[in-house]
Amino acid sequence: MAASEENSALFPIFILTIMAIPIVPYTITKLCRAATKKSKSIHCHCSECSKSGKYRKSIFKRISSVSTCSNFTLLLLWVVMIILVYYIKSMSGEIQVFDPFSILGLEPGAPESEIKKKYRRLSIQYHPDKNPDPEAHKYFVEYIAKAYQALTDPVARENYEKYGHPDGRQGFQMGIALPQFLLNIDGASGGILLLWIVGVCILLPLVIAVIYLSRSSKYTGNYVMHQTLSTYYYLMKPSLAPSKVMDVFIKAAEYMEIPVRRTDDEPLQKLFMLVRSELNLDLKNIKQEQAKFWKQHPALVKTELLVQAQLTREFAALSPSLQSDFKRILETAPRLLEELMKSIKRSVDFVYFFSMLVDWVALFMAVIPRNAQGHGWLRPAIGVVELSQCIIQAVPLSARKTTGGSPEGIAPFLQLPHINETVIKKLNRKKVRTFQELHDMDSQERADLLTQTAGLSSSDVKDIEIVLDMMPSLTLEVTCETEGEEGIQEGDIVTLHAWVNIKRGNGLIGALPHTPYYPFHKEENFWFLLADSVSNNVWFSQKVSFMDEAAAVTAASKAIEESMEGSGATVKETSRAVAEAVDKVKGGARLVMGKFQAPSEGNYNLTCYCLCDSWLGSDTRINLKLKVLKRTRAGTRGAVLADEGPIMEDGVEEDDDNEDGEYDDDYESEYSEDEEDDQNSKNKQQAVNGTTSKHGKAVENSSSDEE
Amino acid sequence: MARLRFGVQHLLNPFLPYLAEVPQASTNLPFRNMLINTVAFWLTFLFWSHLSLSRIHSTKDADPFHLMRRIFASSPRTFMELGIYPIVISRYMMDFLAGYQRPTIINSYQMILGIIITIVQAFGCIKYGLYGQLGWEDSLFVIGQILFGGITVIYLDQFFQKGYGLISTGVTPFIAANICGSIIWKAFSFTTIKSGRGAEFEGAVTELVHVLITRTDKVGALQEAFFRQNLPNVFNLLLTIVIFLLVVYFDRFYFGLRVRSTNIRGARNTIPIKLFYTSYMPIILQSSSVSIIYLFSQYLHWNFSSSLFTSILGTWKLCEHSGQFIPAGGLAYYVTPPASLANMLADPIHGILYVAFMLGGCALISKAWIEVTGRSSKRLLKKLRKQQLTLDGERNLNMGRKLNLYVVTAAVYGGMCIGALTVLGDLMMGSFGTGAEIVLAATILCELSDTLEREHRR
Repeated sequence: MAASEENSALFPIFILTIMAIPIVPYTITKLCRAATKKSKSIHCHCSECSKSGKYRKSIFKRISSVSTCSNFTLLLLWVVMIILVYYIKSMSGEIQVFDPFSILGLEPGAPESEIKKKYRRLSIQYHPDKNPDPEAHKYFVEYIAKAYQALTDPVARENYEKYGHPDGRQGFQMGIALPQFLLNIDGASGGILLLWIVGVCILLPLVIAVIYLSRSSKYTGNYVMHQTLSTYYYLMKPSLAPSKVMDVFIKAAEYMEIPVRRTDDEPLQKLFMLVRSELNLDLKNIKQEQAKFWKQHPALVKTELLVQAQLTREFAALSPSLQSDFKRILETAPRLLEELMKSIKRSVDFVYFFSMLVDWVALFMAVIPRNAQGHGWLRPAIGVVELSQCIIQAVPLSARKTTGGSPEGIAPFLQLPHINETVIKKLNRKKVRTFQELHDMDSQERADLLTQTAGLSSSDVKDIEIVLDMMPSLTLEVTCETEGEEGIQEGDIVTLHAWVNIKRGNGLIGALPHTPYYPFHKEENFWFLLADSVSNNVWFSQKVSFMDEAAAVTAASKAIEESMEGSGATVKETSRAVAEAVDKVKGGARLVMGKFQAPSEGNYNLTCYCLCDSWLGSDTRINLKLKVLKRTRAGTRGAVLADEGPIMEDGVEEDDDNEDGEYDDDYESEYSEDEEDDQNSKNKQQAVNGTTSKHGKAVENSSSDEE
Repeated sequence: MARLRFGVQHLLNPFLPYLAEVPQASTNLPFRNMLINTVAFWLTFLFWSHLSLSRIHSTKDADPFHLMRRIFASSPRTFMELGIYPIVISRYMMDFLAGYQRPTIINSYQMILGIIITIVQAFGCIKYGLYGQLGWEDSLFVIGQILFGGITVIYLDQFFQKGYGLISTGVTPFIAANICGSIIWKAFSFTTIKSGRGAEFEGAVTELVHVLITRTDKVGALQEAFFRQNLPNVFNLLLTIVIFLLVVYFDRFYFGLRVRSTNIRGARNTIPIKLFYTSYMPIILQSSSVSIIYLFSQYLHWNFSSSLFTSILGTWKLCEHSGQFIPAGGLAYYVTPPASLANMLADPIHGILYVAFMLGGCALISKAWIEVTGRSSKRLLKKLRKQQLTLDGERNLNMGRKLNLYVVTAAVYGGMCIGALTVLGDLMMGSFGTGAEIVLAATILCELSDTLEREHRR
């Protein structure tokens, strides 16, 4: 009976331990995250942004954000744990541990004289001669006498110290800390128990695994559906006009999943009337075009109309059910646009994607074709970024049309608070035609202009100032070279080395953009493109973000370190270069490094773009002249073959053609590190390979060079 | 037809027609299927390692292989009596016999060798008296059962190697799973042991929670949980984690070999030559040889206890604590790790000899390994040649020699490093296991994570 009572206290201890292992670290990380989140909120402080309620935290909102399901579960588990602790404490009183000092009422390690004194006093109290009570007699014999002996008798004392008991080694008794009903299983309860074990230990993990697997097969790493990706690959064309990008964008599988309700028809008709001018319908036979538009898949119609509603800021009139669809569309939009951007590049080398990832050495195989053109297409890439800017800032695409002196139209003005078309017209009359002109003005001058000509109040002007201060302006420093060689020749692997510097009026580096009409959290992202605008080719593209400084520091220092090591620099030089780079990153610059293959001989006028996905009018471009020389050093293939002679004579390499794929057990690891190398450069080089078949002429050219 | 050293292929060829080959899996097997396969293989392995052998008698309580059980993922008195021992031995034997060449037929030879080793080992187990005195009918029956388990494992290994599972390194991850499982059990076990001090948990962490809640003297309770002697304690658990991290840390060490293309200007890269160039191979080989020494010396000790040779090879005594036989003298004693730092200081000769054996042994095995099989640096060289790469700043002619230099250096120092970590583990881990186990588990897991990462990127 005693054993079972003990077990009933021991089993909760085990449960408690198992519970504490995940819960304690989880709670700590959660608290840490909550603490760091509060300190980091760099967002726009203009009146429109604060009115949008994105950053405002009302008490109700705070409570609702804290009282999530997971937090409740956590709290509940903590309560259960505390109850368990109390339960264990109350149960454990029954477990008696033989401790002679506490029996005699002494401090551990008390001297012998003290022990004797105390023993005598207790004997007077409990000795059978003095105390007739049988309980006292029992207590005296079993505890006091034993304790006294344990502390005074040298043999007993040694035994006590060694084994914890004065009688020496005690027999072991093994037990299992499980509740009693689990241990004596019989008949019916045994069956139930078995069912439980099968259910919890086997079926539950299986179900979870099946759910996980079926989900993971549907989505890619970026939470975008596989089907969307393949649609984008399929629809992406090299000469896609920016306005047509929208048609591709809305074909995402995510948007096709949006439910089509019969009740939505009427509000959608109304919405259609509002945004009709934006839909690029042919005005001559408008009836036919309208009918055609409505004949499309209802989900497509809905998505297109809702996106247009965002662009024209007509979202106030939406019905509640449409409002929820609208939010859903906007939430996924940045993710899809990013994927669309990537698909432009990938659709070129998609076919080669699987064949090329076999081994790191394949990178160099991939480089063998000597000419590279068309890694991606410039026009659709710019179109995607423009669409992204318009959706985030809620500016219609038609506002981007070139007017008067400004190539970007009136769109950049519209992103500023309190500015509408009439204000812009007034500004135009004052010869302020481009956004750049307004941005570069003296703040006093600008204030004068806005209050006097446009008739804005001073608080409105202040808002505009805040937003303009928030706007990033970028500068680029780009160099291209063949590492370790002089000049750039045909077919070289050229290393691109670019610093993107950011500057804002208010001196911040990473900040959330001014996006009053986009209801979700949005970070600024920039796309760095190196492109040949004449042939519509993007040679290199990479995403740049200014938010995460720590990651940028590590990435930049790693890249610099690798390139310095590659060129054989000493440790001192490398560390100096790394320190410089880190300083630069901390000062608001980001390093973009990548490799591409030099095209055939000639002079190239390239353009480096740095496009922002959330601000209008902050895109930068610089021109870069690239001179590619004729190939002077023919392939040294012959020399390599000649070298191979003496080693072949070893005679071990007879029939080892199979070994590469066949028996990769222990020694695969030696290559693994390399594949972790900068993935970008790898992608680049795959892209290079993507052109193998297309440019047969160029390959012929260079091979004739060799001979 | 492949040629093996000593013409062994003539002995193995007659069995070839009876062998069923596992076909190569298609190269683009979805990740999902691979995951499901891996789980299925693992469950199969678990099933066989819990299915008891039938028609055996139990006579001796002591298990002669208990020191090696976890390394070879074997469980006593089950179909997995031998675990992956035959696979490991046959693989390294075949590496030795075949050298650098790797045609498909070698795989078949290896399977045959594995089956032969299984039969020999099963026979040895019965002869040793592991299952009591058996008649010849029963003996055959038991050998059949063990052989069945052995063949299952060999085929599981083949399935892995042919690319059906997530990992193409064979069943070695089972070792890691086994070792990690035992460490986790010792940390969180709910078995209780009642001795003089009342009930105690076996698990270190569970005991920590137990004493912290139930005792009033918190400092004493912490002391008890951290430093208790006869059962797993928290201090040893922490040291085990530290050693695990240390192995992972060293596993990431590499020397970057700069290469450039002879064909394309500006194309260059660094190839990492890992410090642990031979990975966990020295430890497995060392453990295998030690296990052979144990087997022989135990056999001799029980049968010819008086001879001089026995006392040189090793004498055995019963450990009253665990109820198992442990080596007490001779060679077997000196290749066994000291139980703790205190034991090492009490018998410094044992300590010194053991350290020397581990460091020297691992370095030598590592070096001899790449020389005998000759595959590593040659393989690398061949790959470089195929891609028209050359070492930066070296003449093309020297490439082979230079590569060999780097590879041999890495192998020797890596082997020594592995040996040192093993010794450290032996001294620090207490009742959580031996150093070889943790080093093996950590290196296998590192390799596994590398493979998975590569696989995932694909």
